[in-house]
Amino acid sequence: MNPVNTYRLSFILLISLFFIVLAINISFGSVAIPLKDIVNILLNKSISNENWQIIITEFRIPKAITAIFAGSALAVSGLLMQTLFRNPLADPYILGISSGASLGIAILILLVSLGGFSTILLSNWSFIIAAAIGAFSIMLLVVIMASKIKNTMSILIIGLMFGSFASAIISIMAYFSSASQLQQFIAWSFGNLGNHTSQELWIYFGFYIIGIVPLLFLIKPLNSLLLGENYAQSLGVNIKNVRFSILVITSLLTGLVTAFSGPIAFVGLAVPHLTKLIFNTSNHLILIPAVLINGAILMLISDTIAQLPNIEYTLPINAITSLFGAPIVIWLIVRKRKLNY
Amino acid sequence: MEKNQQNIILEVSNLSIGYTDKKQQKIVKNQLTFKAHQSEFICLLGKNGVGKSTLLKTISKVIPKLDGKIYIDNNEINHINSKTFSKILGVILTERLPESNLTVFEMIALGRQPHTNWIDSLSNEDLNMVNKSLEQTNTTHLKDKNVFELSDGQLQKVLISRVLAQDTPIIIFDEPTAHLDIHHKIETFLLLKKLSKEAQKTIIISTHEIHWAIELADTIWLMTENNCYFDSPENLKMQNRFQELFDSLLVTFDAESNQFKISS
Repeated sequence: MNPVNTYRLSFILLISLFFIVLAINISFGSVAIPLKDIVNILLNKSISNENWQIIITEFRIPKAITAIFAGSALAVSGLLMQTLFRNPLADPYILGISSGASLGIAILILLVSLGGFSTILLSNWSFIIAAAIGAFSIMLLVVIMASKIKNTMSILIIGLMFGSFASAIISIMAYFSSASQLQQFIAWSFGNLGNHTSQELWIYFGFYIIGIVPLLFLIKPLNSLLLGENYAQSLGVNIKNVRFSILVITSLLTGLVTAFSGPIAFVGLAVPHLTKLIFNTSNHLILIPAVLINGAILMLISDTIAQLPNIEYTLPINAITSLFGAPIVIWLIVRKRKLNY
Repeated sequence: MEKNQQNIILEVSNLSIGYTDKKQQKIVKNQLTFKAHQSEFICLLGKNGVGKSTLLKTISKVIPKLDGKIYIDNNEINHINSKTFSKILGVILTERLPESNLTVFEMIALGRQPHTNWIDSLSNEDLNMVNKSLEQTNTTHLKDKNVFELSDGQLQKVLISRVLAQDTPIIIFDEPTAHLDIHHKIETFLLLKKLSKEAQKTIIISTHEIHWAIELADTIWLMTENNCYFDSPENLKMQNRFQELFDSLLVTFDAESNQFKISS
């Protein structure tokens, strides 16, 4: 389709913006650290204040990496869903994956409080595993259903139904829960990018790559889907295989992010729109990398805002993404007066 | 080589078409045997529900045939993989395109997908084909417009360009004139006729414009409730086959004007 050259400048700007945002993200936090020392830490030079070094290397950098993974993975999943379902309202969670993860967490919290299980179970890992099991159970159900169904729109409805079903169970569990259990659950659902060890990040990275690399082979079929499934088929695309791949990749990436960082709203819905408005193209060869970068940028900005400088409190990331993202999207739409998917 | 008319591109024998529903076969038509040649402009006539779309879908491998053989270029279609098939047979559908940011150029370039590499980048040959197909339908001036900005008539031509860019010897077009005004209907018919000769395509369309079909088609595939005829318009007229499209005696086919008349 379009020659990549046309977009070279845009990509250079976008990547520059990404690094600026990344630098700002690492520079600001509840503890003020002089810029000179941050640079020294990043260059692996020793500095006088050891605490600062720990804050940067053990806290801020892992958090920034998590933000990049989460933002880009959710954004690209949203793009896949919007193209597959040809629906501008589709987002990564439309197939009920976040509800599945939430259910996993709810069950974990319940099991722990039922006694017999030590509270050690409420570690980072058990949260990740519980959310992952919940997310992938829903994914498995949706993919199994999808293989038996010809109509893509039916898959969308089935996904929504699974989501509602899981939410209903959570509501019932919440009704019978204690205040402290509820608090634990709500704290998780606020989303959290921090608190990951390097070991966890490597595992995060591994699954992230497994989800992202196959996208290269989906560029062509995704483009053909712009004409609708029947035309795509007439161009030699195996719709069933493509649909299956899209569902598995989206579930993997979304489930991964939700397991590690909680359900983060808005990024998956908004970033594909933002990107299409900026780049004015439907070509996935351009859109996929652009959406990945934009997702990371939006997430880093949101995290910087959530981590208000010099203040001890951290705002919930889940609220920030929508709070600051929504006005941007509205502004862009009003300015361009159109929104396509 | 003899005249192009002699080059058989599509050969169908004893074909049964229909649907398989819960292991039960619903046969719409059977024992169909016919041929199509290079550069042939074919109009498929018949009233709604008689099986026109079923036939076209079966030939274009959208639904499986129930029985019989379909050979394209001497290969049975079940033995042609979908990738190769997309280089042999192109379709234009009646369905609306999903909304997108696609420009006319980009959309036509999507027709090159069976020929492009794995990341869909366009070679010089692809670019030439796209430009050529824009010229063939006189739509070069629309190339940078967004697809959703086009009028129905323009969109029709752009869709034809897309399938031309796909570079297939056979083009199947389901009801090309369905939502066009009379002006664009005639234009489409003439354009398709011209393309079949100049670009040497076998073009198969289903239509309800019987009089233009009789005037312009090389061959007519006529489907009625009980029979199917595959013959030239002249022969079909001589045998008074068009009358079979109506079972009522009140409507008669007037061979002079190629129209149906209501006798009072």
